[in-house]
Amino acid sequence: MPFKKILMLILILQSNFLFSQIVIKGTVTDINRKTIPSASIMAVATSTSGKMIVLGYTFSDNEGKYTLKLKPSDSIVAISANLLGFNKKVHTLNIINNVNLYDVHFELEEAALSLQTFTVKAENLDRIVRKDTTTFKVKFFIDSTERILEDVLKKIPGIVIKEDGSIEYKNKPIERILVEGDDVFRTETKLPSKNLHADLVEEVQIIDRYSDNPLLKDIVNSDRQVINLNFKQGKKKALFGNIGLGGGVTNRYEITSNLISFIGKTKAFIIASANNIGNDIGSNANRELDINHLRSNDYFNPTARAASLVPILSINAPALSPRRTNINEAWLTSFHFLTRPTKDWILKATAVHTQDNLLQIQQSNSQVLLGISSFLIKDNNQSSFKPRYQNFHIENMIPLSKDANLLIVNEYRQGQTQANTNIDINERNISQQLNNQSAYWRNVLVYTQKLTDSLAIVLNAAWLSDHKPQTLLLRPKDNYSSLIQSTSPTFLGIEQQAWVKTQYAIVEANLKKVWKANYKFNIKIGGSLQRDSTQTWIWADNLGEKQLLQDINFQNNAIYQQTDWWATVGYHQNFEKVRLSITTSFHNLNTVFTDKIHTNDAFNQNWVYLSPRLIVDWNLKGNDKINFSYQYNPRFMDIQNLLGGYYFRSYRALQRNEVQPFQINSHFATLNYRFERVLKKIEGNIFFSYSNNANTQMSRLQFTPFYTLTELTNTNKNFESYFVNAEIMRLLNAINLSVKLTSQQFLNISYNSIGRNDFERVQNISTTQAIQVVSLFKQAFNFTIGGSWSFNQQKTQTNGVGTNPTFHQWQSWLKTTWKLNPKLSITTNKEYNLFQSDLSSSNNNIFMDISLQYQIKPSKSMLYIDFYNIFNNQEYQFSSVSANQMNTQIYRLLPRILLAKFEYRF
Amino acid sequence: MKKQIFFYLIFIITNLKSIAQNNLKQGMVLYREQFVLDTINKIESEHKGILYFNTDSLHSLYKWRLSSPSIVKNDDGSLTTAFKKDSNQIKKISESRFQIYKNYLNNVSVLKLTLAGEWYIVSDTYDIKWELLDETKMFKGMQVQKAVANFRGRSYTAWFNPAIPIPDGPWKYRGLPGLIVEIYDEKKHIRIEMEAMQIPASFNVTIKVPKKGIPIIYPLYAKQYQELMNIEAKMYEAQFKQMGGDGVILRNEIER
Repeated sequence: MPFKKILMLILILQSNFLFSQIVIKGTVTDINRKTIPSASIMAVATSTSGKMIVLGYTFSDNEGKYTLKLKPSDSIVAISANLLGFNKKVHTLNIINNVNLYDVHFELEEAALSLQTFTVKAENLDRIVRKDTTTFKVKFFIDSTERILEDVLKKIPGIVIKEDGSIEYKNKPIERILVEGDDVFRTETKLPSKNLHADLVEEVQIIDRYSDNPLLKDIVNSDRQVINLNFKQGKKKALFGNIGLGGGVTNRYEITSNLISFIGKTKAFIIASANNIGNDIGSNANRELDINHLRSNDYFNPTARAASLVPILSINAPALSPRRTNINEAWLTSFHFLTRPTKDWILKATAVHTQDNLLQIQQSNSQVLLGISSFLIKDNNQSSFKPRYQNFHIENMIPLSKDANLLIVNEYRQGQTQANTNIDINERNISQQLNNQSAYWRNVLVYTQKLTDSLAIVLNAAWLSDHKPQTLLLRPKDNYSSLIQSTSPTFLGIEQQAWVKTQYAIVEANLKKVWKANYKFNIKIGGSLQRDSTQTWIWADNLGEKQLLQDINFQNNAIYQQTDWWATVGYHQNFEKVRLSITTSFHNLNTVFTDKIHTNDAFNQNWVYLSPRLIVDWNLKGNDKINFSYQYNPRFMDIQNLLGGYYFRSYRALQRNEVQPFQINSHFATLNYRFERVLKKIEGNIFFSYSNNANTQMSRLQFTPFYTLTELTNTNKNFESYFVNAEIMRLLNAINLSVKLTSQQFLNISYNSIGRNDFERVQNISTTQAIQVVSLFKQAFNFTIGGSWSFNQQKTQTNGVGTNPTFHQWQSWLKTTWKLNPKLSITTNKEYNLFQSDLSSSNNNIFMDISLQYQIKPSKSMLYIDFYNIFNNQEYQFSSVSANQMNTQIYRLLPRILLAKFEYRF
Repeated sequence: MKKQIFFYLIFIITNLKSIAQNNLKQGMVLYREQFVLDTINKIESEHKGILYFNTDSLHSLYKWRLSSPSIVKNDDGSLTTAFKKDSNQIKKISESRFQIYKNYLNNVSVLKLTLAGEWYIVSDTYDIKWELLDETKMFKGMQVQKAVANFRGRSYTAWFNPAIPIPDGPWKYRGLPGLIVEIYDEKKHIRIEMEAMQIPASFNVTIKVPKKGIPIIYPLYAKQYQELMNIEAKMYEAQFKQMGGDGVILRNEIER
């Protein structure tokens, strides 16, 4: 027995000796059997802590051959071969007893563009560029006087906040603002930018070619750009945020609050704000309700909406900051929720309520030019505008399998707007009261199936309904008595009732294919049905008793239906330096109009057309880029163009259209050249656009008894616009200043045919030149100083007589920031405006604001004292010119405001 | 600090264009080199170098910029060397004539260096015998693995990233199955770490065997270098003395 034991021991030792080395041999080739030298061959194991560890390695030789010798180990899990530019191949090695030589052949495939890109940065970089993402570290750009996210974004190089609050980066719009990679706010970009606190954000990332469906990430040719916010590490807790309460003399208030919760994969935001100091609360409340459709090229883009028959008052404010002109009482409460029950399952819910009470007081002197005749209209206008608006939205992206998901969107919007206008026209009083309601439903279903890594199919279905009932009361009776045949002594005025309802359904199948990384292809086939129905009635109001105007000309009961079938082919190719994208849609559109009252107006028309779109992105030397785009789109009539009877569009425009199907051919082309000379610290952009609305038709307009102006229906005229914008920015490092020069040229050509059968050219030219210098001292003091000059001229021929009204505007601004000590800073803002026009003598205004910011407890509590419009400018006079009118307006401004605000952050 | 930020920024921005260009097989890596110029007095120096590589043609070029030290007197009276920081450095590195060409198919590195006003093309053949250890750590967000080797009288520790499969690194270091992101010697006389990288990337630098210089093999060059260093050391010593220093002997032990 001992002998046997010894023999066993010898055998074991021998076997250990035999297996003391495992030899793996083989070759590395590409898929065409061409040998790959210098590839890394690694034996990889998993460590006790679960990390992958390289146990041994070698490289393939000139003939692609390799020999890898290893000590035997149970932990060997895999042998991999890799070389940069190829996809890694891994073979699991099954170690068999008594076998110490293994043959492993590797066939490497060339990597596609989707190969992981490595970019690693140093800690103190202010921006990092990684593939399609540029990350800006906020701390390098701010001076801690910023209050809201928008103030931070303004300071990020390349980001521009437009006047309407929309955001652009390198001349391309930002479609969404994400938080920590999650699309919590969806299409609302103003809501976070105007309300999220500046202090929350650590990094601002610009993500180009964004796709919100993870399955389509590498398949779609997305052209969308979004912002992602990364919050400060210390902030991301179960509950954090801030609350600010401010009060000031003459009942001024400002409330701001962010209540945020990050728990696991769940994010919730409650944002509430209110003010009557002119601040924009970032909602749509002070604008006409608009359908917030899926602005996603990845899905589809239904733009269907019910038209407001009487447009809701638009405030015609001068180009000053909202804090001067926005006489408001705005309230916003919103709730945003996003959770990921599993990795790919995303559930979102939003509820928004906003309301406002806006006031506009203005006097306007308009000279209406009708060739040799002209007349003057003096308006004294006081309007109040009370919009209320609610939005509920649920979005559910459910993963059905590894390669399929379903998106369900349900949305309900409801709005009411009350607009009261009191106006004196040539000392004749009119009052208008408009009540507008809106109820909007949208339901979307998107099914995405990824068939292979390069092929996906997307099926969309959506249904939406928008209903807008309106009542318009017009007073006093004298203005409208001519409309009714026998005036009753109790007649008070006119009331118009109208409702417009749009129903829209769409189905679409979309096939997306990508091959060889550089070629992308998609085909869409779809159909939609849109049905707009409108009814209008005009009543005489006899002491509250309504009497329908019997003349059928004062009634409409019409239905307009569009059935559209389309097939779209899109092709995208990435060349070495050029990215080309061509999309063409073939449409077969059927339009049917019927009117129960004006039965003769009915038509049924078929339209067949192609709508091509071309985009070329060309990367030149360095960071220079040229972008060219062209698209052709026809526009067809909508129900407003087609109503045959009379209806009021506003207090003085009683309109009757000639029912006629029409198509406007619209061409739009842009050319953008962007250059960056990083080492010379200079960058710039030249943008050119051209648009042409060919075959534009104008409808006959007849104005109420105050004056009459008739425009004939005209055809085959091109309405053209040319626009050039050039910007150049230079960083003067030696003196820590950045200088920006902007030049803008705009030319608009249209035609009128007032009182005659032929057309006369109307040409509007405007130009703006501006310069701005920003200091970058990063110290106790900083400033922004700038100035601009604008010129606007209208060249009109009316009945053979030319008029060339012009105006000039000079503006200058100076903003300074003083950090007196780490706790106390002061910001001053001075604006100067000067107007000169043919109509009135020059008029100038100087505005001054001072804000004081005191940090009571670092990162915890702050005190702000804001003193706006110190010189108490109460009115602002400005001029404008349009097709047949020259206007001078005196606009009532927000008064002097002194406000103290306390803010607590938690 | 500000200049440093600007410096990194340029590195990243100048490579923006590379993202658009589908050149997956090449990349560039920026390294910071710190080495002790004087091992007795711990006078440290800092350089920046960029590794340009292409795995299609299987070779790389490492370029660096030699900053000239100037000796300054500190507030407390001590003496240190100061290096001029230059925000234009990335561009200057790419234009630098100091370079090392490495071909992945053999063990020969070709260096272009200057010595006493002459340019030399130095061919150096070596094989660094790395030993892999099962220690890993996170370096700038990447999982990297430890390897050690003895090379020309120094014990080196290198951290490499197996996810970036190129057998390359800064300076002459090579031969690991992933990019070397950090390397230092036992005595911490030399320390090189990656600061930024861009893969894929495109660049205007052409990777080719350096030309225009006196051809020489490494052992001969090393001998000449050491001789010159002794002369330079005397020069520095004199400079120190002139400025009121105690008089030191500079001794550069770096393999460079």
